[in-house]
Amino acid sequence: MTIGHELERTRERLDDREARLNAILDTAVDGIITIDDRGIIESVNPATERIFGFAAEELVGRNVRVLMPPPFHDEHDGYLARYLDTGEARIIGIGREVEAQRKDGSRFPVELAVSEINIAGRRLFTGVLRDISDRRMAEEDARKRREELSHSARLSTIGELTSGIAHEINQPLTAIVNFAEACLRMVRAGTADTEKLENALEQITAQGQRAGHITRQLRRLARRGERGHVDIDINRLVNDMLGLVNSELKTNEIRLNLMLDESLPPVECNRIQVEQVVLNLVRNAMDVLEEGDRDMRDLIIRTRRDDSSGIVLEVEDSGGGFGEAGAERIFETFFTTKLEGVGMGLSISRTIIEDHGGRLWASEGPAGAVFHVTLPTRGGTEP
Amino acid sequence: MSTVWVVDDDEAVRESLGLLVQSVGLEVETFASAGEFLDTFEPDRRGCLVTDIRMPGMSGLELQEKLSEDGALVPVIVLTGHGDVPAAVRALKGGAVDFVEKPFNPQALLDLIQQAIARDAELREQAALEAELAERMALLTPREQEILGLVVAGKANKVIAIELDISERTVELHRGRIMKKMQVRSLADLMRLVLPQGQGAV
Repeated sequence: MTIGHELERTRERLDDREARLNAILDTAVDGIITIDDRGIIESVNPATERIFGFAAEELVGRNVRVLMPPPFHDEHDGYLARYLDTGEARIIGIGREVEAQRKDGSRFPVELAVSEINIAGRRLFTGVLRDISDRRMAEEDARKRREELSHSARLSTIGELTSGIAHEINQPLTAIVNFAEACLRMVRAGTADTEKLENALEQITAQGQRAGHITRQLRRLARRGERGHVDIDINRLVNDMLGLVNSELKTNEIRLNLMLDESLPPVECNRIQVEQVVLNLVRNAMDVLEEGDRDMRDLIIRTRRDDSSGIVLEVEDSGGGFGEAGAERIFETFFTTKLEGVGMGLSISRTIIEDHGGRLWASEGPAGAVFHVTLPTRGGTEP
Repeated sequence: MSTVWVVDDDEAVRESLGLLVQSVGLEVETFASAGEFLDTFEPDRRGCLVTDIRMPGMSGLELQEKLSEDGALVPVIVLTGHGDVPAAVRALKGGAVDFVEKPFNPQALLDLIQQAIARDAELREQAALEAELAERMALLTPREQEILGLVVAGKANKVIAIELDISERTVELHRGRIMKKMQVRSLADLMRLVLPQGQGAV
């Protein structure tokens, strides 16, 4: 074997390897871009051309920020400089979802992984990116469908509550009208004394607020849904929902036992959705209790902190439990034991709670069913 | 003096009804439950009951039924809410009750209360008269009762004497005792006392 022959073999091997690598780069579905330490593009693969609508010649030699929308467009140079300076990585070796921008200016989500390579003393960075528009769209569709579903479930709950809610609003209205009429008569008859008038007017204000509180709750529940998560006091949320069913609780002689932990931290959640879950659990308990003995109707609502899961909300009834249905089947969509039920409430509730990073499950309590909801609190759920 | 009894478990509604009734110069007593009301209720007192239909414990309808079973005369006005109509219809068959749906026109409620109080007073007056009449009638001997019937039927002493085969003088003596026992001075007074109550055909 001669040295020339050896070199020939080596070149052939290298050629072969380069051809393979090129083939891989050329046929890869993901865009692959290499930049230098100033952010200047050294090479792009065909997928990059396809994804961004640029030809390779238009990209090579230009700053990679041409592929980024603001604010990254202007900040990328800074990121790069800081990394070279401090070694503090924002994206290198981590991989994340970011926004990219096509040649025509349109934006789209990509999943981007960046790795650093050293070739002949030069620091280069290779980015592998995948267009995840389709996945995002599918996620968005699923989210919309879920929202649609929970909205119609809410509307049907409101439908079931109509008579009770009308009562809750008519009570304060009745009081207001009576107080006002009484004041008018006293004033006209000259029998009004300041103290009586003051008391009546205070009552009118308070009752107006009472009615307003109910209609606000109702309007929120009937809404199509808010996207954002806000800090919520779960105890207050529970009380708000109980306001909608108060008269039904009373009429049906359900004894309500509230055991709310006053030291609960706020929970970051979608208020309307969590309200829906609470209302659903309470309504279920009421339905079960109304079928049972009048003197055995107990509803317990408990909240407490839990070191491992954030906060816990429990709705316990004395309605005898699940019987043959079993504590898990009740969460299946379209499973119902009610004559007029559609079997959506619990499965939607579970989806909502799981979307919040919590859990919803049922167990047998001392006299009936217990539904447990956990919701994570911010700032970690570690002990 | 008539009293308006208000039974409602909702404090604001109860107090507002109390003030409303007071504002037209009527006596009012308020109760948070049917049980509380029944504890202090004296059937002989004049007045009218205004009760909510939905209450924990005994409902407004159950209260009305109980009063009706006990033979209490008190007129009842039931305050109903949305969707309470079927229950209300059921109660309508049970006795003399008025229904008002919340929220109501206060004037309409006050009118109903005044009517109920007037009706109550009238019924009690009539009942008192009837009791009085029955008391006086009980003093009459069977013969006197028989003759009273014939007198009220418009028959002359002579005719009565012939029908009963007694002397006209005896009829006159009976009539005198009847007038005395019935505490009337004239035939016209006697007729007025006896006839409106449908006793004319005794």
